[in-house]
Amino acid sequence: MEATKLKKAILLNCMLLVSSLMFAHPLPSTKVNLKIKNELIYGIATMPVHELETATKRELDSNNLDLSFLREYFQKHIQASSPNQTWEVKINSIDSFKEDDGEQGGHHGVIEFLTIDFELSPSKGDLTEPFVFDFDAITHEVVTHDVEIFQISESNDDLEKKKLGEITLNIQSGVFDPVEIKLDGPIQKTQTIALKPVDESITDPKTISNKMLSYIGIGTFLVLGLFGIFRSRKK
Amino acid sequence: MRAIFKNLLFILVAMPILTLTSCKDDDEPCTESTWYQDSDGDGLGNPDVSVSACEQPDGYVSNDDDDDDTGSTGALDCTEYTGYDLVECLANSFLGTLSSSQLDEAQLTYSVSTAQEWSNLPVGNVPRPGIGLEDLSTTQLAAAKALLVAASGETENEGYDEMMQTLNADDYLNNVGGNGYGSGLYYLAILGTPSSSGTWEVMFGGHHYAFGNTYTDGELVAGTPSFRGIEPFGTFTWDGESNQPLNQEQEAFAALLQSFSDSELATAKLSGSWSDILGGPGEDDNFPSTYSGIKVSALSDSQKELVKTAIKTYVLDITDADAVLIYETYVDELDETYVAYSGTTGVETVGDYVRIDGPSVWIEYSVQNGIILSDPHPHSVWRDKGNDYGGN
Repeated sequence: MEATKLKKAILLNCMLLVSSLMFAHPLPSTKVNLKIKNELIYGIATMPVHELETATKRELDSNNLDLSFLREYFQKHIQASSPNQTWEVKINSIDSFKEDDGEQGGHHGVIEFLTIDFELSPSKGDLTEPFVFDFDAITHEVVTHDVEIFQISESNDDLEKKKLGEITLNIQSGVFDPVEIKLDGPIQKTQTIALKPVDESITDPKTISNKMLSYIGIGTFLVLGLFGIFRSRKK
Repeated sequence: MRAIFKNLLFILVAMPILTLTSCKDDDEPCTESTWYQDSDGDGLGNPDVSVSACEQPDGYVSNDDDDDDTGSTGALDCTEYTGYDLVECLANSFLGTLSSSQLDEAQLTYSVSTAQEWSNLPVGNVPRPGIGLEDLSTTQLAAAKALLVAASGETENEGYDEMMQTLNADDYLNNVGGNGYGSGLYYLAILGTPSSSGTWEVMFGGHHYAFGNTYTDGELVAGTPSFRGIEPFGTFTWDGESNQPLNQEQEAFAALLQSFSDSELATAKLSGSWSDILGGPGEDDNFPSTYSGIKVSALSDSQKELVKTAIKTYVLDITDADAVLIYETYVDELDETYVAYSGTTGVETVGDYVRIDGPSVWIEYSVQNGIILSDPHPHSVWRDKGNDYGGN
């Protein structure tokens, strides 16, 4: 089950990357996927390494990432704030990969990306309070870079994405306007049941299975009984 | 008896030789080809009507590419025209070479929203309005190019020359494995009806070139937005010819920036890094509300000349007579114009960026990572504030 979810997440990320390549030539924008799970907001940010190198003004060796530098760097450049609570940002992992979009209809060849896995935790646990999401790891320096923010939700076995906002230069003012993010709450499992039974007890799985066993037992008893009557009459 | 036998033998041997010899004289070796009827004279043959013959019959062509062998009225004789009249005549001439189904692709209703459909992305990602050059016959392609020459001008390394060199670059990319690139993947559209009354546009573009001349009531009212990029950057050889379509622009900017003193450079320097232009596709009427950089009025006369030289490398991408009028406006506003840059003054390494921003003129030049090749490549745009698409 987890493996299936992982495959879906990778596929979704690939789709997001391809779509970003289509609309941001020559280098794609940063994609940030946010997801509510276990009272936290989990984020995965994917960005082109070259733009990050320009922003950090240092070369990033993907085969030997300077994780302590990057961890400290992203800690400074990923922030959330809202009126009613404070937000803590935790950087979980940092990795890199190369993507050739040629096989998927793109035209940009191999591009190197960095991914940051992070968590946002609000002090009062209110995950759906609108918050200003400040992700300026690249945009504090590269004024032509954009950051697109999505919410990823799991519904049954499907992953859904919804664009929440974009951090982009306001060309007229020359500044990046703050982007307020409002996440949808997690989907409750009971919401996926379309029809609500009148008898509340039937929603209990144990009750359902007990009743079904009773019906099967009665049915079997009746069939066997009828069969016995039929045979005795024949004799 | 012996003589009779000899004669008979001679006849038996000689007859086939004579027969073969005479056949050789009468029937020249001939390889028949299939010829397709081209009743509309567009250079494309009707796949449903064909003949086999050694020589090309009149009204027939060797290809069967015409799905609709009707509608073409043929090319026009435009030799007596000059200036706008020549552009209008050649636009109608091009349209006249097309079949009715091709016309549906190439001639579209004029609207700003269609004119805004230019891009700097490969056509596989963003389809362009119009008919692809790869879908034109030799006759039609000649008519298309004649129109583009008249609309874009004949200055060396500018206008039509720059345009064709940019197409060569896409052929070069295709040749080194860049799928989805090539000169055939550039599209020509006529928006509206070429006429001395009303508005119409010659729209031409593909991966690294976007050209749009808008005409109203028999006059050019806009040659912008106008985008160009080039990969491979610098000089490259294609089909035995040397190509360097954007070298003049790069050299003009480098000469200008390198003429600045340290204090002038400090004033002209933008904060932050730039990896692309601001005024790309979809960014219409979207300019900074305040100027950045160094004001041209603060520069020396020789430096002002360098600014003018840089501007010319863009304005001369349209017909010279029209270019003069636009150029004069920009020169009149020169002292109110600003030059700004980021990166280095060589304007050839990734991250280098230059902008000329005036009351009317907006030119950007940005050097970016290579896409197909490892070397950097530039993107550049020329816009006219308030007058892109003719102010429509």
